[in-house]
Amino acid sequence: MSDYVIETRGLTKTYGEQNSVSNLSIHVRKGRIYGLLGRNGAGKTTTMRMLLGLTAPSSGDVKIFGKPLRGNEKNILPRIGSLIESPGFYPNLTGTENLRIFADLRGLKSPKYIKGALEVVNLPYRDKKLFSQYSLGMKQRLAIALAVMHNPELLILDEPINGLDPIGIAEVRGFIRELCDATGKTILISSHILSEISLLADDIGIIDHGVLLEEESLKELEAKNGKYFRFTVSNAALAANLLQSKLGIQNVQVDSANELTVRDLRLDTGAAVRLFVDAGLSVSDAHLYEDTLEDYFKQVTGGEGIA
Amino acid sequence: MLKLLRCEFAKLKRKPLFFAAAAISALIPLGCALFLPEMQEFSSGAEAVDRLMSTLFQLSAYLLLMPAVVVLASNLLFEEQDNDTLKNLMTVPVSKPALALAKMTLLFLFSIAFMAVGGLVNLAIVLASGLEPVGFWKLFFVGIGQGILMWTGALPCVLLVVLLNRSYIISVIITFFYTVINYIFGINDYFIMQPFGFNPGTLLPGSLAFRWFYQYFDTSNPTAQMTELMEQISPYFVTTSQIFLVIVLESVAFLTLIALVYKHQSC
Repeated sequence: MSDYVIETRGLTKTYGEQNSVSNLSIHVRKGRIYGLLGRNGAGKTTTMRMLLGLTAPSSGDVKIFGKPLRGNEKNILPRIGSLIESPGFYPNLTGTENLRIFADLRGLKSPKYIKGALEVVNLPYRDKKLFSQYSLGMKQRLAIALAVMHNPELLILDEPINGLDPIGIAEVRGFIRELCDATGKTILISSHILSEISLLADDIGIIDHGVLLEEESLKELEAKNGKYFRFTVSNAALAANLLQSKLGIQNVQVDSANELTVRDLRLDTGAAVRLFVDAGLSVSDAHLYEDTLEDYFKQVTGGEGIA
Repeated sequence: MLKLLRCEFAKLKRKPLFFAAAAISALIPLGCALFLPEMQEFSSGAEAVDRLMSTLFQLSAYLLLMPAVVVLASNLLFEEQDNDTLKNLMTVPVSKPALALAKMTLLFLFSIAFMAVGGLVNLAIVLASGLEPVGFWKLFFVGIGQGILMWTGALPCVLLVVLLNRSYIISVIITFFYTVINYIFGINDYFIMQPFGFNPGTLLPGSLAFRWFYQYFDTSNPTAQMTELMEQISPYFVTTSQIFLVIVLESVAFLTLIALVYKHQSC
């Protein structure tokens, strides 16, 4: 059986002549948090809707728990908890009454499910406040409670921190991390906020204009993340030659008469500086630089839009 | 299905429109009893029952129940879209046709309750007048049957509302015209005097209901006008089995169409 809890192949959604999602193939591993990162309108929500069978793909396949979603909805969907777009509940009912409706439909008879879910998101059980009177943050919390109430194996959360205050964001982040670490749940989370994804996700998919540009683990992305050394010396060409011939360092680039960049991270800066000084070169600066993830994502997506 | 129906009832909590619609079932019987002099002086209990129940059948059912069913249907069928809850239901998963049918079942029960409440208010008025409610229970159950018939009769209108997808104003306009047309057809000789078969007199709820319930009124002491009317229309009366055959066929056809149209609307 496949290791992937979610696997899509060539998933495409076309509205008119415009591709909202184009040939998307994502792979979400069991027990991991997968962050789908993209700017607004990149196709994250459409992708998630297709994963839940809410939107029919124009082409391509969705496999969840190793089985095609189409035709297996009755077996697959009860194992998923989801939050898609804005929280949707009945305004004339309280939070508890709203959850009771869905608990009833899911066959969860004991009130402990509702109580437990509300506790997780810090909302009171049997509160008198109607959903229509909830703040945006409370609505979002209730939507998260609904997603986790039936203890699903897979969570699909579309921008779950929308509308939450900083404390709420930290709480939800901690709770999502704990769900994955303590109970082994698989979580697919989307966001346009890079810091959130980088704090939470184990694996990251970058989507832009409906196309998946990158799919890697956070560690791999961080490793790729443009770390490099820069030296300012009296003779950059000679210094580059020394690094290559004496220390076997590759990927050395002479930027100007006095500056060179080294992208080979095996370099020991101390040894390099000693080598330069022994060869009679003066060294006025030696620095390790690192691009942030944000720089990297901007470079990959070709511009702005990720906060 | 039972779960869905239970949830539909749960969703009605604090919904004033639904309870206002239920409350109007008592309005016409009470209004007639309080304000119309001919509804205050009866020669016998049987006459009182006949007159009050006739008001219930011809005014409450036609003019209030049918529009109420359509307006409530549009409210129920579009509440998921309005509140963005359809996505939560679909991921349970709940099938959209089953959801639509649960809502229609709720309206079916509402229609029965509407006529039952109206009938019981009439019973209370007869008893309060110190008369014996002779023949009440027979007409009470005819009233329940008419409630079911009005529910079936409202289904084509509900289908139009679903097809027009959330246009409440158009729904209300359609309901108004449909109600008026049915009321006119229900008292028009051309539609009443048609044999049982594939014709407007059988297929439209207004005329069909009249051809059914009218035979159950007390005709032991008829007036000249009543005798003439009975002679004219009695050949066209339909039996209870015939009327329920029409109800079953029409409701199966329209419920299937409503479920199909609702299924194909996006969530």
